[in-house]
Amino acid sequence: MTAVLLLALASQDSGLEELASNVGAVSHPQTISALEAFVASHPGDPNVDRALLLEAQLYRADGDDAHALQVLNRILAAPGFSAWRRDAALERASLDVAAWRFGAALSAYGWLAHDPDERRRYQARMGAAEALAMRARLYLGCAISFALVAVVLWRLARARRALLPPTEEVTYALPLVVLLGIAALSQPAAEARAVLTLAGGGLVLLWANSSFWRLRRPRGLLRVVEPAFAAGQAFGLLYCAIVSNNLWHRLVETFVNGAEG
Amino acid sequence: MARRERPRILSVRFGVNPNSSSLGVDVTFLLFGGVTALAASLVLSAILRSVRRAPSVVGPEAKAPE
Repeated sequence: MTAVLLLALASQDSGLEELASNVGAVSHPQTISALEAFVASHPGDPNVDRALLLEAQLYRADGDDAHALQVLNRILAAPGFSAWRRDAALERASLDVAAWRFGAALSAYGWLAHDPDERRRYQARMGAAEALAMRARLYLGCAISFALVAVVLWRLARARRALLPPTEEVTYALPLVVLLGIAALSQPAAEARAVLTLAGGGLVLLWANSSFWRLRRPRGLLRVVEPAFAAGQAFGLLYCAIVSNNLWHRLVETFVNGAEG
Repeated sequence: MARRERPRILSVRFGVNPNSSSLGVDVTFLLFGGVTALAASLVLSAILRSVRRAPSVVGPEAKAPE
């Protein structure tokens, strides 16, 4: 998307061409300052929307979604309407999806699905499908989270007399959890949170389940059901850790293209 | 004169970050290694705790329960 915008900008003049061509050569904050200066010095210029859109995309490329949203809102709040504002609406809808504001995103995609431009219609259609899929994953993740919390609380309550001292399972797993926590510190924020969620949540699952079984030994059919249910809890926790940290797409890509080196 | 074909959009990638790439090897290992270890611990715990243990007899004069 940024490349498309840069090409379009390069075909225009009025000072933006030089800014656009220097995006790779100078730092993003410098380009953003220059774009702001351009916007301030060209009131009423039709290229202002383009400059602001590029600014938002630069913020987003740097992971600063809050500033990107502010800039996009500036474009969309201004009077009048240009084709660049439709692109800004697409960009903001994408930001809304990333921030789990599905209602706003679907509303924007619904509006852009009738856009005169074929590319925008296609992007809006695909964006809406992605938003719906992401919302379904989030709802499923919430349901699994509530179920896990309910199971843990119920088992902790039933086994409250056997919680201390912690079971051998917890004692043996503790070094592994500490190692996972230390390893997570060197990862990017989202990945680190996912690993920490898995490590911490896993320890709680292990503690609640093993304390429960220490007091109430699985008998009969439960000898088969309990191990299967326990494995389900572990993979449910992994699902929640991945979905809550927006790592689903990266995980799918990892399966399709292999992990990065 | 040959008719020029209209360029088509081949693909557009969507997602939270359109330029996103795969997870790193270390993160993949941490996540899947961690969940495998957790699942194995839970399953083993459930199996081992479901086995009835023979009562332990402590001391030379202690008698096993009838």
